[in-house]
Amino acid sequence: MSSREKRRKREPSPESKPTFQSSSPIPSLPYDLVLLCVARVSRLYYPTLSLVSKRFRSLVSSPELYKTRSLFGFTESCIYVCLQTLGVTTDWYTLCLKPNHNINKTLKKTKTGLSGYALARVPAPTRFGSVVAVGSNIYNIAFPHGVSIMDCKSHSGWIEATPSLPVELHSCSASVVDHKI
Amino acid sequence: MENEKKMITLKSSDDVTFEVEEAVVLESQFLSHLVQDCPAPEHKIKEVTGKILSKVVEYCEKHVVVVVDGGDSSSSSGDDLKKWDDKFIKEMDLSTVYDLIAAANYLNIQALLDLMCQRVADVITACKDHKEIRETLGIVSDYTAEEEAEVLKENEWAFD
Repeated sequence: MSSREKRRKREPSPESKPTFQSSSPIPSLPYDLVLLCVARVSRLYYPTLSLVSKRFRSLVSSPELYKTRSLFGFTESCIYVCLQTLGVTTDWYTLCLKPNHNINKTLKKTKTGLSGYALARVPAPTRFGSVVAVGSNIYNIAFPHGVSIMDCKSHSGWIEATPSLPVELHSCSASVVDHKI
Repeated sequence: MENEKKMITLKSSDDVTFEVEEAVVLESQFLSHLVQDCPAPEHKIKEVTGKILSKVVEYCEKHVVVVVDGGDSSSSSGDDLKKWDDKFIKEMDLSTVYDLIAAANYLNIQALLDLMCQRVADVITACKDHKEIRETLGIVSDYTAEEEAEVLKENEWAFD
């Protein structure tokens, strides 16, 4: 049988990077003020926004945006679902909006039983161990001594943490206390 | 005994004047500092036009009145204020919203800034796709067809 785990995660803690002033995605509004507007838009729309223009794309992937969201309390919890079938392979998904849907329509449709949400596949780690979420990252601590990290802002895949754990693991369990693993 | 209300005159960049009570001016942090530091009867605000300043004054006057009348900030006055805010933003086109965002940011009126930024966010989320967002916000795409296809591919995980 498959085991199933759901991970809820808090979003991005501010990253300390020097801010760069790039040209504003909305010509008649300064970049900083566009940030304030887009920070209020659900992350579910970011893939759509990145298709609007290059400037929007760079804005939705910028650390400033996530910093602004944290600062003003516009963080969201995202659901990740990990399905493990017999053996070691896992499939990872996250909830997203179907194309051509918006949340308002979706809420209306829920009454009729149709949902505008879909589970989209995100990269799975090569080995699957014990997973925890801290900030905008998911940490996967797997046998025998590897820790891999996925940045949920980009879903660009799992990066092996270096250095790897100094000891070989025989069993592991991870949890988060006060934002620390 | 009732205190006489102190009136202050605000002058926009294009020389439109607005006479408002001091309490209205205090809604703006920028203006309250200005009034305190420089107790002149008239203040010129070079960065804001008459059209936009009239909206700012309208908003601040409404919010001051409700806070004063509401006293204990009862929920009904809060509801009324919300209804008023909704009507206030619905009558506005996007370019006015942008100008008000800039004005609220400059004058440091947090509630107005929040209201207007939320309006832009709501406009974005009401669009069904990126093309509608472009159309609504008046944005010309700087993607070539190939680049757009590539971004779509990158985001495939979300559009599967």
